[in-house]
Amino acid sequence: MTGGLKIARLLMVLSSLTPLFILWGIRGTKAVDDTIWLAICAAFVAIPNLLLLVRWRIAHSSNDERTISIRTSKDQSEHLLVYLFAMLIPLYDANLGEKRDLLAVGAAFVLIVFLFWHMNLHYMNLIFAFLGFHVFTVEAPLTTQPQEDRTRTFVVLSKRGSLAGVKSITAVRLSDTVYVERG
Amino acid sequence: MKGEFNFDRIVSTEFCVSVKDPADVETRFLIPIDKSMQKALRQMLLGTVLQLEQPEGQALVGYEFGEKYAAKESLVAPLGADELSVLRDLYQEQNWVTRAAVMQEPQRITFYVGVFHDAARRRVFGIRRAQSFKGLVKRRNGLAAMVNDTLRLLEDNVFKLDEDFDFLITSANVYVLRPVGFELIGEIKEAVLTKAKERVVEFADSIDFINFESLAEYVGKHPRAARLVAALYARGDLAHVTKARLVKAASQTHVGLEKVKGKLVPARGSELGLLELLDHRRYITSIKRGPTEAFIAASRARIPNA
Repeated sequence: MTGGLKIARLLMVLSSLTPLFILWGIRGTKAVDDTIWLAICAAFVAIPNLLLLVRWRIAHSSNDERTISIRTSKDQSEHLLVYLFAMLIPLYDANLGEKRDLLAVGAAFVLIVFLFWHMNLHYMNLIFAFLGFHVFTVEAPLTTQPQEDRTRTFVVLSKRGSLAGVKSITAVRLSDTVYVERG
Repeated sequence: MKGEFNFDRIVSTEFCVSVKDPADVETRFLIPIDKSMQKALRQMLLGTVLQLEQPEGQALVGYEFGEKYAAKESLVAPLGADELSVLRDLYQEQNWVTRAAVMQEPQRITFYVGVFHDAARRRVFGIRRAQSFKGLVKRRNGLAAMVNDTLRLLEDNVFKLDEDFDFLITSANVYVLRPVGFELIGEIKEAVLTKAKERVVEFADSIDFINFESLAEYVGKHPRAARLVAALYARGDLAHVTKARLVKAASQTHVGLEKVKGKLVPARGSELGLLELLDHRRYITSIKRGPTEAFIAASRARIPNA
């Protein structure tokens, strides 16, 4: 799934790491002065989320939307759990005591951000979860022919509990592969 | 047309462009658009529908492959027609990949598509050739706009939406406003040529006194003849043609016929003439004194019986 809006996707990945920066901010580190550390964490929390909100509002107000025909859908909420346990908690747990520890964690952080950005996993966002959105991946057939095998995958954030039986939805574009259902 | 789509309740509007790659393969891409573009596309759609509409009680004229049309017409063709496979495949497409970057290479855009959904999730496609759409791109250096009270040259590519579509596709029909755009995008000429050879031979089932095999090679190479074959095939009334009347009409309209092995074949140079005659395009008039005059009608329409 290649996609446009590269900067928007990067910001969404950073936004998905908001819980990490909040926890790091609370925890602090001996390697960096508290004021500076808190300012850095606050910036990493505020800026990406603000820009994500701006992107969302622009998409809504300009009606940047499309209709997606759905063949199958899958609730990917368990990915959030995997993300929490496999990524967020180990990063939080990492030793930040010394400058070299900080550099090592920083390098791991950059690598994880790149991987999430490159693999279009920018929808792994607890903020969406807090707002009541479920994460679905939908397989969308490329033609209306019932025997069509080729599909395209989209990520759809929806407040519905399930998309089973839903033939099509109209959704606002957050990025070229992530859409938020209206309503 | 209004039974196939609710033009008053359009719930979503999308925009695609068709791009030709260096291997001459065409692919559609979805281009994200905002409210203003959606509104403009809906206006294009409604403008097209208004021009296609006929007075109360009158049906749209059926598109005929053998006919020569004016620049603007109001025609309808069933989407299920064999020759419209390209448009059928196009209408079946959905869930296109989003790729705004293709707008950076406007020279590769061949046509654009407005995709409209109504409240019942039915779709209509509005299609237009992209000539004037990208016509301003080369003239970009001559375009200026007022920005902060100052006139400035526009740096970006500028595209111009047209006022209406060349044709519309619904689930059942194609509604044609501009036959040239319809025929180019639908690759009608190629489809007609491909089918002409096998179809002309099938005419023998309806008219057993003409040897159509002699025409097969000819129609496979001559687009005008192939179109007449497509028109005759669509009509399906060749069985009513009688030998005596055909021979008389051929003589009056200078279509040479010869007899080979008991069947009529067109004389060399009269192949197209025979097809025109069968498609009611060769006729004589006798409204004045003197010899009767024969005519060929590139375009003709049946006068309804009183």
